[in-house]
Amino acid sequence: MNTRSVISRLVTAPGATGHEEKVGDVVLELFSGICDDVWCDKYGDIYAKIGSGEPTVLICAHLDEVSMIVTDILENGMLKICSLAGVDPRVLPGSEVVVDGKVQLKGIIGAVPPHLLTGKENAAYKIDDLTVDLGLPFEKVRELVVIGDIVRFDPIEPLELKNGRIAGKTLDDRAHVAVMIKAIEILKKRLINCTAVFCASVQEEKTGLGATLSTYNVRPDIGIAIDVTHGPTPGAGEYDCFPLDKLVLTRGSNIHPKVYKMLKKAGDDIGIPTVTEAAMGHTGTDAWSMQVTAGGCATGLISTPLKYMHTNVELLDVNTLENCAKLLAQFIANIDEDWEAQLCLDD
Amino acid sequence: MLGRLSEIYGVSGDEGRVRAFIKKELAPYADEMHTDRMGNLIVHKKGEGKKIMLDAHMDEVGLLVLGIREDGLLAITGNSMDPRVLVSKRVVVGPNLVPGVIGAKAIHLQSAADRESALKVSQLYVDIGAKDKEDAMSCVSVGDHICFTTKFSDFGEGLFKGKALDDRIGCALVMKLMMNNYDCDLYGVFTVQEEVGIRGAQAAAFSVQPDIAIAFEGTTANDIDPKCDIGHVTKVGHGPAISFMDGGNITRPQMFKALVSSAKEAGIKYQLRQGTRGRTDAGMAALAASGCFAGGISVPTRYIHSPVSIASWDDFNAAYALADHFLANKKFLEVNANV
Repeated sequence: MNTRSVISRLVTAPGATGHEEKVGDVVLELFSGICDDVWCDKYGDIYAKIGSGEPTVLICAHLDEVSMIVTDILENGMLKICSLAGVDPRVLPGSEVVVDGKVQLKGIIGAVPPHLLTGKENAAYKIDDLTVDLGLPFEKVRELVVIGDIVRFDPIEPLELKNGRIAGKTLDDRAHVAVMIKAIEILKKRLINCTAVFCASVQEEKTGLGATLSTYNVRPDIGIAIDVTHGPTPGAGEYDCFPLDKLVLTRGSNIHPKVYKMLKKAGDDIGIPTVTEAAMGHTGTDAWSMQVTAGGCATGLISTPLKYMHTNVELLDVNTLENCAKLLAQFIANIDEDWEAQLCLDD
Repeated sequence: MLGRLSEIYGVSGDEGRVRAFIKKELAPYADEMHTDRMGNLIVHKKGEGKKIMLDAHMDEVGLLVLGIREDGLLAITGNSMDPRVLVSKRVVVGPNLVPGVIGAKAIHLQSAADRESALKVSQLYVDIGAKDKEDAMSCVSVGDHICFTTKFSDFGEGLFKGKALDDRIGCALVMKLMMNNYDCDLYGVFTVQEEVGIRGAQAAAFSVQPDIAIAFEGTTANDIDPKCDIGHVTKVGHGPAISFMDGGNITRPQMFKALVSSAKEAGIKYQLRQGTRGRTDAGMAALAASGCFAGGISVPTRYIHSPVSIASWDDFNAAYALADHFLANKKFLEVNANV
């Protein structure tokens, strides 16, 4: 399957944190097209399994998107909102959104025109300052919307930029759901000596629940999270950002040192350059939950650099995603009967 | 027609695409059309009697490429916009319409102080995906115009949304009116550079030297807060707004009365533009040569000077009907120097 078209399908499907059913259906269909062993659990994690025998490797890329929730309906039909997970209010003024009411409704988050500003414009907008305009009278809004309904970014396809780069919403982390599909396609043509379970996980942006449940359900020996890290951004710290054309492997307490080595070797084996990111504690990914669940597993993290995270214009390089799929596939294909010794921690 | 106008890229100083569209559409109806040195399009339907000028500006708010950084990002400059509406939006850059986005530091990387303070234009960049300066310079240049790419569509109940409604709404109204025949010497004037200081109208109004001018606008509707009963300027869905004054024009009473009585005679629900800030082309028309009677008819528009605005079809159609009544019933004959 073409990575770009898979990404387009994924990012345009609804899937706020805790409400991933619709995007889950898309993943179920995509997984079923390339794998016979596909299932989902009660919270909506979608699994695809290939191979058999030991060890079991669980790979997680998360499904949910940063989004908002309706908190109030004003007497003129305007909606007040709060962040459900991960929303930066500074990106909202002048944005188009969708409200998942009884029907899907288009909304606009407006801003006061500059002619009427009173000199306080040096302060950032807070989410409480903002309203969603549905262009509907109050009675109609009351009929179609209730408090607690989800407000999402306008689900439009990514924009093609120069050099194979794309920009759009929810590339964090559905771009890596597309990577999992690509990796399965590569591995179907190769002999593998282990069980690999690919999981599109729910609720990463808030609770890490999907990674916890899937680790419990699958009981992996090795858990790999694939997620995004920060691309070069003016004003950001020197060690916070990584070049868009390089895959990033993380080291730190959340990462099993031997899994890190195995991932690095997989990249070296096929000539894919990687750089290393250091994280003292929480990596802000599914690896955090996977590491300690059901007795714990050996965790690793592969990241693709992405600029402008949690905005509508998240930007990454599709070539790097393709490399991510190749590296992941190589890592799984490299696993042999010696795996337990390889994972043995140094005393 | 309004939808097509809204989606055309035409930032102040780069109105060529809008002008080409209007010229093509109005060619069958015009006796004469010419583009002046600034880029204003002046469309003439010759007639006897009063010289009437219908005015709308073609330009929209946008940005310019200020510089190209070593890392390939484009530094930007702009005015007439609150920089807080820029982050996380799609744009096109320059004559080649190179796609780009306006990004900002991710929320994860922001300090507590960052989260409190608004991003200034000097802290924002357009990212076209270029690898470095040289790569960016192969397709964009310093001084290139940067325009939003919002799609036009129907919205909510009886409304529409899109970019550049200020003032493609005006352009659409003047175009529709210019397709009719009225008993006067009629000019349709589509001006440039309104958003950078009402520049085009100064030149165009002098060339035309009308007796009467009407500026058509998509104007501020700040009717978002239900508790705020003043300061909204106009309200969407409450009819076209007639100006008694704006930031650059105090409407002569006889002109104001003629517009109000046109609305009343035609049974059109109208509102007054309850704000005096924000200048329009009317002010410049009033100053042209020895002066003329200039008034304003506006369609209330929410969120102007941002990537996406909202207005009402009923208001739009009523603004047209109001102007049509004024012209068809020769209400302009009531606008005389001797009151």
